[in-house]
Amino acid sequence: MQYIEPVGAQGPANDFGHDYVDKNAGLGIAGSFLAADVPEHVQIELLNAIVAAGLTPAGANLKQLAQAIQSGKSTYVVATGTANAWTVAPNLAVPAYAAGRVLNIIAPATNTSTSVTVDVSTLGGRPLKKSDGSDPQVGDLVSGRVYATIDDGTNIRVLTMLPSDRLAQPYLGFHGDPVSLAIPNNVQTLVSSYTGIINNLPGATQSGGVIVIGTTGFYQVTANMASLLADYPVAYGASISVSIVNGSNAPIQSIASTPIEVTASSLTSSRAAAASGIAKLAAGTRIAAFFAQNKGASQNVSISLDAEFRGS
Amino acid sequence: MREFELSADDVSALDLPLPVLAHCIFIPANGKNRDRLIAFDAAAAEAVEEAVTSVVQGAVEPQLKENT
Repeated sequence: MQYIEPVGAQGPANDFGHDYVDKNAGLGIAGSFLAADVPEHVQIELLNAIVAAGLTPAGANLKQLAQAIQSGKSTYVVATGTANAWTVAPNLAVPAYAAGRVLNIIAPATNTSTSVTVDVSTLGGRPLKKSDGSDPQVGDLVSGRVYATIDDGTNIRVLTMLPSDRLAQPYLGFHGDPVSLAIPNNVQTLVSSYTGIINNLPGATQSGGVIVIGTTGFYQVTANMASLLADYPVAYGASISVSIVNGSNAPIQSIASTPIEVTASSLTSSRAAAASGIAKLAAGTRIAAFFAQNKGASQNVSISLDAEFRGS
Repeated sequence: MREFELSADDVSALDLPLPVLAHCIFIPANGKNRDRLIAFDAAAAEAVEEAVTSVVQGAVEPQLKENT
């Protein structure tokens, strides 16, 4: 569309030509005349926007330009083609590739290559990249999903995060490697050491097997017991738990425990049992793993402990 | 609260009644401490001490240690 200059009298220059002026007989100014192109071009321009939105021009509806803008039709397209070479034909053809153009595209198939191209309005294949400009990973672009894209002048970038953009979550947990302990008969035994410890719980400290919670939140705790007959011959009345302890390390509230004791019949060979639970623990809370058995004599057992921060 | 330096075998050999043991925990030796039986109240501590002194003098020689 071009600016159509007034016919006859002209006003001051504007950005595109000269202003139209009104007739003023008193000042001896003749008014401007409209060229035929003015009403014609304006109507055609508006009608093209309406038709490109998939609407049928109707004289009784004077909101069609607004409805055309609202429709988003010119930026929405269902791609065809193949998994790694998309063909995109918007209702309003894109005249040339240029930076800044946005298209919402539904993928025709899940990509099987890191090299994916998009041919928009038969302008030729343009590389499809992730938001950071790198290639998508195989399977990043899933059949039938809609992707908001923008042309950066060289590539077409997907604006949203793709599966390969997900960051690995840091391990916010405590892990105590299994320790072999001699457990006396009939008394709760605090697991006071581990052969190796990883402590990434936020703000937490550990001493003597007791973890002092540093950040209020939800914690999943799991204690595992292994009984290998040769080395750790636990066979009677074994139970494990994880409990909140008081300042004297006495258990005052169980967070997790084995549902029933492990008996000789259920632990006749190499066996393991676990106690697991989730609890909201306040900063400063002390927790520890406990083991008990009632064989009638001391038994050896291997015990490990995990506690993972699950969020506040 | 009192601590008794007793091994797992020592504790098992004492054969303390469950009501007493319910007021105790056993803490195996770690880098800082030896095996310990912790009695949380005076009654349990007294029962443990009586058992220690009455069972096989000499065979089990636990060291009694007042907890500070």
